[in-house]
Amino acid sequence: MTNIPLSHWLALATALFAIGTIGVITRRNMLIALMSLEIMLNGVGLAFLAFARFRGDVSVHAAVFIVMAVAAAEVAIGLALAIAMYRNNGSIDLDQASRLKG
Amino acid sequence: MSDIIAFSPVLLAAITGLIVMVLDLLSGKNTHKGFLGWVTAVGLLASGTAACLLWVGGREISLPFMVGMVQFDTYGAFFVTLIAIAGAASSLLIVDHNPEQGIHDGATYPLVAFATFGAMLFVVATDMILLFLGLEIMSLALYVLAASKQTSPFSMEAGVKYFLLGALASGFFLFGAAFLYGATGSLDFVTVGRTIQDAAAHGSGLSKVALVMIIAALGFKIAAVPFHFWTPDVYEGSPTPISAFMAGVVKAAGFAVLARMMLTIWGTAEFSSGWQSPGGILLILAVISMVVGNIMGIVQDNVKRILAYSSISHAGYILLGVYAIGLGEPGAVGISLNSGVPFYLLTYVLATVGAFGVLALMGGQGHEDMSLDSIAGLGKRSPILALILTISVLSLAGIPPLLGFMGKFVLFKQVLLADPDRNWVWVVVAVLNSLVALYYYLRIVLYVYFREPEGEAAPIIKSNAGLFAVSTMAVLVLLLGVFPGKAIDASNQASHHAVLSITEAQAAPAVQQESAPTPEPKQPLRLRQVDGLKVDPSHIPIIRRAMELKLRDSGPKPK
Repeated sequence: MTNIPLSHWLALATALFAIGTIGVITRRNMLIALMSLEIMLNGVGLAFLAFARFRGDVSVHAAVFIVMAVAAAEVAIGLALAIAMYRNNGSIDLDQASRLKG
Repeated sequence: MSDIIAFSPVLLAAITGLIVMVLDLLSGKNTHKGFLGWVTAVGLLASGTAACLLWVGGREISLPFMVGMVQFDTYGAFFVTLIAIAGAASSLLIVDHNPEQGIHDGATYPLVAFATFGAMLFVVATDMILLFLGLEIMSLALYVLAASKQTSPFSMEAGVKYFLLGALASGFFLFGAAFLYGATGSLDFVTVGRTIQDAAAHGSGLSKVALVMIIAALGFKIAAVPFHFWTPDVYEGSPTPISAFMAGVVKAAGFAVLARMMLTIWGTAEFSSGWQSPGGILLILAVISMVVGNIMGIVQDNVKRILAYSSISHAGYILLGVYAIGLGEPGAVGISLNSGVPFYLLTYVLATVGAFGVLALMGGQGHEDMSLDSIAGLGKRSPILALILTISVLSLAGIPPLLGFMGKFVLFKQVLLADPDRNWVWVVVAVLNSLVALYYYLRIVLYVYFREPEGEAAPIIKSNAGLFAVSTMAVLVLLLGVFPGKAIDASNQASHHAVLSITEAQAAPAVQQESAPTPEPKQPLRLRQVDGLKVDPSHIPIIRRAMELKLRDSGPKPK
């Protein structure tokens, strides 16, 4: 554990972030988009922790908890929107939410 | 105690939200909730007044407080006031708009108040995590507000689009913050900026990734091209008072933070020295935002979409101002924010809230369509609203006696003065763009006065609260346009504090140290046992020093 260099942690964090970002942009199911969002924010949390460990600075762990709490709040709102979407459209397919354009 | 006084404008907005929430519960289900809109507006205006009082009271309010995470200075006061005005106007617009549209309005007022609180916190924070909290408090409330017309598929779609892209932007911001922390070991703007500007960290890859990520995240919030795709859809689909709130409050707050972060962290004398400099990215965004915003604005037929593209092109003008920093101004870092930027944001926010406000008062009987055709003949049906809409869009276009003209004049002049040899090209581009924009602004005026509606005309809502809000905006646009002196002075003072000064922040802890020496930590710092981490022995003195600083910062504050 302790011998894994910083660059490996960062590569993992960046990969998670990239997978999440691509998921939010390309996946058409609202629930999968929400899951991708979580992956993205977890990548961020991992990057914070990796840097904190590298610098021997414990105080930033608080920032990671804040990020996790905010991510939970965000997903709660996302799920509420998914329900609103299902009531209006009868599905949670994001492609059907395309009435506004021009 | 002085912390709380200096933080009171921001706290007042949060307290307003709590009070309105309780009043909503106490007032029962079947009462008319319109009075809550007035309570919200009064509370938010009280917050704006507190900000003004702190400013003109001559208090020294530019010191960091709340463990150095917040700095309330003239810059913060300027934007808190502006945000409070726009938030109060939006809550007054909701009063009669929401019942006509069949939106349950009891829950909207606290959300508006909390969103305003988040925007204020966003502006005054100097620590990236607190900044993120402000951003999220603002955004989470707005996702719900955008989708608050539950029966409308358009409103739902606006909410979903705003949510997905907004959450993406939050993720980008955090990733940028994480990398900045990695590059510098701090989350505080001033410390981060000081480390980044040292030669060693300046070229580091981490800080470059962070720069791009943070510009992308804030670019979403200010709706700069190429991060603008959500803007027209969301402004069109959301209930119109909420569109007014987004176009006014979110953009003002986003720009306040963008300017402060960029200039404090990356603001060296080479900031705006061409494409390769940190400011170069802003210049590219500025030019394409102006051009794309104006060209797309021409081909729209929906007034809310026209105003959305207008807001994108305005983001371009303001970005140009942020790019063209002032050199040789007072302050330890030797640079300052272009003093046209806060003033331009003032002119933009007043006019755009007025224009969206008039549209909000045309949504009677659940009418959602805001095509140009549905506002045709407004001049005959309601001369007052027609006049206010005309004043607002002409101010956005920059027609001389109005505030928008002064805003453009001051901003472009300051951009030119910052670097006459290079910037004249961009000023010419901006002026040409303003001329192109005239087309779609005048098109709105043409439809209002000289066309008869062919289809169904938008029913007008009789609303004292809404009329009061929009006419206040129009009067301010007229009066400040003729007598802009005070507003320009205020903007100058605000811009002097935009770049957080390094020496000032350093001076503050030093004073505290003298008044109360920090107690020595009782136990020796056990570095080797931190979570099984192996520490290079040569780093121990550095880490020990960092931990001592941390302890001192987090220790009890002397009073």
